[in-house]
Amino acid sequence: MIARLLRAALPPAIVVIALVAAWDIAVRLMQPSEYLVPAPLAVARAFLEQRAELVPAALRTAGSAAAGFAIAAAAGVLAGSVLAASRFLMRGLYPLATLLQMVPLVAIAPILVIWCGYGPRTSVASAAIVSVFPVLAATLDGMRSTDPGLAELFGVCRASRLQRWWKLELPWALPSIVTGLRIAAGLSVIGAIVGEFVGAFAGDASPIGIIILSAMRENRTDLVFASVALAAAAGFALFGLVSLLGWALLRRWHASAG
Amino acid sequence: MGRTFADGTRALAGASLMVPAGAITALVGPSGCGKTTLLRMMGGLDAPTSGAVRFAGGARPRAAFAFQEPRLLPWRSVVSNVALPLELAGVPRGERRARAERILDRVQLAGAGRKLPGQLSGGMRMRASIARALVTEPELLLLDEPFGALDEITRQALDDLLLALWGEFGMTVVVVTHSIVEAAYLGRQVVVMAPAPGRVVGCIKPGFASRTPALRATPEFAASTASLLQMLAQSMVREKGAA
Repeated sequence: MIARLLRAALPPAIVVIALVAAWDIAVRLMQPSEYLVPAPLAVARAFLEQRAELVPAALRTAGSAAAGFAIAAAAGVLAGSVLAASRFLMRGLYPLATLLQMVPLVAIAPILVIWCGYGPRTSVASAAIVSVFPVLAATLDGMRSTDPGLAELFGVCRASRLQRWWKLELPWALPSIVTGLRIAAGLSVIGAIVGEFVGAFAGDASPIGIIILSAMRENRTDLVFASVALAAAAGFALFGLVSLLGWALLRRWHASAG
Repeated sequence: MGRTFADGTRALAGASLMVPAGAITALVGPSGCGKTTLLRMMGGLDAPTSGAVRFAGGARPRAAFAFQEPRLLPWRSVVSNVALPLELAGVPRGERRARAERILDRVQLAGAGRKLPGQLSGGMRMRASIARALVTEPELLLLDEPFGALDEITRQALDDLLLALWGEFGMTVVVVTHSIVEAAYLGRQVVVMAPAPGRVVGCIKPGFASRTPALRATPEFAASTASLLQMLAQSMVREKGAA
């Protein structure tokens, strides 16, 4: 198990190390201004100096993202199930949902501030909105692909609508739902930061989005880089957790978790 | 009975047959002869567009289906797959477990109850599927090419298992097959069907004294398969003459 994990982690680790080395060499050779591209070591230093502020900020952002993701997961699975159950609702609502997905999040963010006020609630709402669609689409697709033979079996056994959903359609759609959730996990961090850009204040409880904005205004590009890296790490952690959960649920019976 | 599908296909035209209670009836014929449609109408999964399905007792007996594919839920263990019809009918957990275990024992899957379908061989999956059909103790067992996807040797073993289960439970069995050998071996009554449009072309009642694996090698058995073959061939000739 550990050997397998190491073997899986080795290629990306080598690539990351090589990229960071290339970055360092490029900075040394071309010597751009610190303001444009800081050296990797400068970014690391900025992180170490400001870690007392950066780490709690990243955790706040991760918290908003996770809350938004949880709302999106529940709403997406529920809405997907409802649409899958009714041809009429699917034809009526799915195109609308697709259209809403096309509206840029940055454009709706100010409206969210009007509705949810300044603070983490806007970030949570923004994270939820941007990650709900992949869950909905994956649930709908998964449920609509339910094996007709198994559906017929449930019909022969006179299963109720609820039994059909809970014991057949939901588990059948689970591999697809897990894929949707993984996409949503990554998106939720993006959504949370967009929400922070428009709807959060600098102060004692600054999230990472605010740190990025204020570091930018102070021309602290090294700190911007460090914050972005931390935000990416938060997204990666959320993605990893969801993948792990999916693997635990599917490993016994589905090929995707082999 | 007749059945015309929405797209105008005449799946069945004037098919009429009697299924004796407590016996095995085999429906045999080439693809497209309406034998599956006929079976589905007996089980209430489909309704005839003309004619009717009538039962001796008046009411529709408790029926159970087994299909060509085992149709097991891949995330459930074998025993909870077998218990599924009871679960959906609201039978309490302890009772349905016990009944599922008992029937698994009867299909020689007692040791495999906790496995997942993906861990079983094709023949074992099919036995689990038969067990699931039997767990509700049906009065009418409807089998749609149940062993069609299996190899010949496994298939013969399952035919014998089916005969043993029938001897024990005594339910009425209707089995659809495209194997003449299987039809003659299983059926107390064998109904021959022909396609385009689907219809019944004949019926034989093999009167074998006993059905054991040795039967397949006897001259009487060969004689009954030969007469089935002849019936099928004649229906094909007539079709060509009409065309």
